[in-house]
Formats: sequence, C-alpha cells, structure tokens
Amino acid sequence: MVFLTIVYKNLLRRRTRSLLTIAGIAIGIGAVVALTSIAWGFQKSWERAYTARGTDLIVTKITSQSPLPVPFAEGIKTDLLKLPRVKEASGLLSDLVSIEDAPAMLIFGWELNSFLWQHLKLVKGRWPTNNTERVAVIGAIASDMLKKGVGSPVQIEAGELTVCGIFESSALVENGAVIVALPQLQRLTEHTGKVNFMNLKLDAATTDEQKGELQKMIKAKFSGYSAFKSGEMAQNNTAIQVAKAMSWATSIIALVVGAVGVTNTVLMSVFERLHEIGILLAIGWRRRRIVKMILYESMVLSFIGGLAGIAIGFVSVKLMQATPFMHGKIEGEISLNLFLLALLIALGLGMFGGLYPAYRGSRMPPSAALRYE
Amino acid sequence: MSDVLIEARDVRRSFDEGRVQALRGVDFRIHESEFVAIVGPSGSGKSSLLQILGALDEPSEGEVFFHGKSVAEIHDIARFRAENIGFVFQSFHLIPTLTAVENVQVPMFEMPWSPVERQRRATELLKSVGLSERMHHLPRKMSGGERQRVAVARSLANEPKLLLADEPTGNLDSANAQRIMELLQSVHQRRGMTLIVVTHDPNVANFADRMLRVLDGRVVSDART
Repeated sequence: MVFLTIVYKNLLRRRTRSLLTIAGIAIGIGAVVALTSIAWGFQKSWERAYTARGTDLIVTKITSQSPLPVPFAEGIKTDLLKLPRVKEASGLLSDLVSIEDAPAMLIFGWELNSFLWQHLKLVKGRWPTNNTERVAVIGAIASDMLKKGVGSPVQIEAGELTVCGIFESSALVENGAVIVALPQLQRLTEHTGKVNFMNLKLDAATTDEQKGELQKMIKAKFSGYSAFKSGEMAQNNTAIQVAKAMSWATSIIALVVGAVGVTNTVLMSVFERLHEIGILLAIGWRRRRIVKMILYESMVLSFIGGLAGIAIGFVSVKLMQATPFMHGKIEGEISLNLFLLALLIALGLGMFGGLYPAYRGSRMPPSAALRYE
Repeated sequence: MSDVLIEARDVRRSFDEGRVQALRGVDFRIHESEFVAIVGPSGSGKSSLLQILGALDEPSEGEVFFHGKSVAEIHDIARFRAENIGFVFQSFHLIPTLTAVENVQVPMFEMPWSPVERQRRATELLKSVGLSERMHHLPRKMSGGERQRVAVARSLANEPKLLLADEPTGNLDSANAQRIMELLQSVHQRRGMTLIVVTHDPNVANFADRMLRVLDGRVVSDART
C-alpha cells in the first residue's frame, strides 16, 4: 500500500460530497480558463496585428488611461525619419466609432502608400486608390457583422462612405475593423493633420539592442512620446490591460468560491475523523504526516477539479466562439501555458483550502482525539 | 532481573483545573519482557495511567522513564511512540476504509521501509495471528474477534518494545476473549516484548505474571500472580 491509497480511500468515503467539491472547483477553474483564454487571445490578436504590419517600433503619446492614445501632429514624421536606422515612417489614426446599428467598431486611417497594407489580403473589390475618394475597405468579419458588401454605403459618424473592398487579416482585430485612407478618417473624426500612432520600419540589420537604444533616444528627444516594440505595445494597450484585469477580477471571485468549497469539504471530513486522526497519532504517525494526508486529500480534489475545469474552460471558449453573438469578437488562446497555469492555480487552491483543516486536524492531542467517538 | 523498561515516579494527573484527580501519585517499575495487568474498577484511573505510559498524555506532576530516560525530555514523541510502543484498544480502532492488510501497514509509514517491504511484513503479521484468509477484507466484514486480531497485528507492525492493551477483550464474547488473550500471551512469549494490559476482568488479569491494582488513582497492591 502506498500513502496515496489512504488519501484516495478517504475521499471515496463520501463520494457525493467529493464529487460536488470537484464540480465546484471545476466551475471555478473553468471560468478562469475561459476568461484568461479570451484575455490572452485578445492580446495575441493585437500582437499579431502589430507584427503583421511589419512595424518595428511604434511611436505614440500615452497621456491618459484612454484605450486609444491621444492624436498628435503628423509633422513629427519628418523628425523621426532623421533618426538612425529608421527606413520608413507611416502615420496611423485609429478610433472607436459607432457604425450604424453595430456596437463600437475599430476604424483605422492608414497612409495609402505605406507598408501597413502589405499584410492584408483582398478578397473582394479593390483597395482605395487616392486620398480624396470617400471609400472604405472592411474586414471579412466586419462585413458579416455590418451585413455590407462591395458597393454598400456605410455611415461612419456624420459621414457616408462606400465599401470598395473586403479584406482578410491574420489578426482578428483587423478582420473586425474598417480601414480608410488617413485623410478620410482625419476628416470624419475632425483630427485634420493628426495621427495617434507613428509606425517605424527599421533597417533589417537592426539588433534588439539597437532598437532599445532607439526607444530611449525617442523618449529623450521627443518630450511626451514613447516608442514601443510591437509586443510591448500590446502589453501597454489599455484596452488589453482592462480586459486582463477584468478577467483576473472575475477569476479571483471564482477561485475564492472554489477555495471556500474545498476548505468546507476538507474541514468537515477532518471533523468527522478526529477520532481516527487520534488513532493515527496514537499508533505513531507524526503530526506532519497528518498534515500531509489532509493536504493531499484537498489537492487530489482540486487536481481532478482542475483537469475537469480546464476541459470546461476550453470547450466553453470554443462554444462562445461559435455562437453568432460572439463570433469574430473573441479569439480564445488555448495553449500549454494556460493549461499549466490553470493546473497550478488548481493545486494552489487545494493547498490553500487544505491548510486550515490540516492545521486543525494535526493540532489535536491524541488522547483528546481518542475520546471523540 | 532484567533491565527496567518503564518506570513511573509519583505520577499524578488531574483534569478540569485540578477538580478531578485521576491519578494521585503512582510509583512502579516494569522490567523488560514482563507481562503486567493493571486492574481496577472503572474510574479508578487505570486508563489515564495507560495513556501516560504510552506517551499519549503527559502527567500533571511526576515523571515517566523509558529505559532510564525521562519521557518528558524526548524531543520527537511521535517517533518514540512509532518505534517503541504498540497499542491495542477495546474498540479495535481500525481504519474502516482500509483492508486488514492495509490497516496493519498504517504504522509502518513512519519506518524506512518500501511499499513491498511493508506489504511483506503485514502479510507475515496477519498470518501469525491466524488471518491469512482474511487479508483483503474490510473491518466491517469481519467479526469482533477477527478485528481485534488485526489490531494486534497492527500493534506489532513496527516491532515495539512495549505493547499496551486497553481492555482488549472488552468488546468480545468469552470465547473470543480467551483467544485474544492467548494470542497476546504467545506474542509476549515469542517476541519477548513487555506487555501491559489494562482490564477490570479477573480472567484477563490471570494471564499476566504480575498484577497492579489501582483504586482511586493510586496503586493499592502489586503482586505476582
């Protein structure tokens, strides 16, 4: 017989209670997995958007907690192009706008001849050809959501544009967005001559270290501005931070509920067995072994609950992605890292939930515990 | 005479802030390989005495010595119990979820033995108490006599120097009681271990070589049988 046999048989004494506890943990971990998967997926999608655009450094002016940085004069481009290793600079204006009946959508204004367009794949229609024509291209998911095709008129804020093309992007955030020529968006949002991002393309030979130096140089030279690598940009995106914070806040509530459930179950089972614990102490078990037995019981419960929760979380993300309401809006990240994180959280939960019962169980003097019958 | 195994010096034990005095100054010496019965009516303090001798409880005053060393000074009392003392209780106190052979292995977790070694020893012990056919039965599927045999096998698991039995026949019919006492006697003789049995049953006490009579928390007589 191995030690775990005792643990396992103890948990089988009250099968229903053990199963209900496992179910409680599974729901908690499931919520954590689903929410984290969505938040991570959101970040990944932005990272992909920044990377796919071929941007090496993004210069922006982060002054408030607003999800989108404040617009600044595009004239800075001339000065940025003078910096070492900067090959190209392209201004970008982005905004969240309400388009007809749809909820807020991302709209991007890009310079027509910039490298930003290169990663997009046109599926229907054509690209905008000049800065004055009042046209827009929309992502495949945006096209579905707005029910617009090539030639459809689209009302953006106070102006009306015509859809001239539909594109696909490797990044979900772009697939659900509208892209117009930069001057068009500046006109629609009354930000003439302004952008809120400046995308820099550097020499192909630029090392990470040189990128870092350039970031410092930009920060020092242009007061109020910061330069980010594409990965850092996603991490610093306030919308992503809010999404992550909300997912953690909800997860923590789910976990606290799970931990209380584990503590309750294990504590009840310890109280029912005080007499038996007294016998174990009398026949020579050390308190440490009692602690180990109780902690193992709580960790086995949470380990099984954790595995079930991971399955529940991943399946619910897949289901949510498939529902018409959520389709195209979320992209869950299902990765080994998330699996391991969830398992670690589950085990931590078991450990935490078992601590007090283990303490109570092991503190009992054997002579007193033997009197409990 | 062989060496003194356990000695009580003016052992007192009171409960409820001194209002209840279970032991009022007990002195005796028990030698290695002795078989001693502690007898007395219920409430005489004999069970309190047994718990103190088994290091499950501490005296309020006085001292207990094991091989000449004060038990109060032993740092790792659980290890001391695991290595030196075996218990047999009136109500058997087996773990209900574990089979006979698993119950016998429970104390062995404190010894540096592999699972295979634990299994081998437990099997041997159950054979020696005549339960080779009942190894994989749960306690609830066994008779009282069989359960007490498992408990005896468990008490021998770590080859203790001292075996303490608290009313070991209290829950058994007379035939089974007789068998359990014969088993304990043979264990004592074969293994040469010290055996202390607490009982109020004169038939049980008659198996012992020496009888300590306890009354109102004091030893009132100490005689060879």
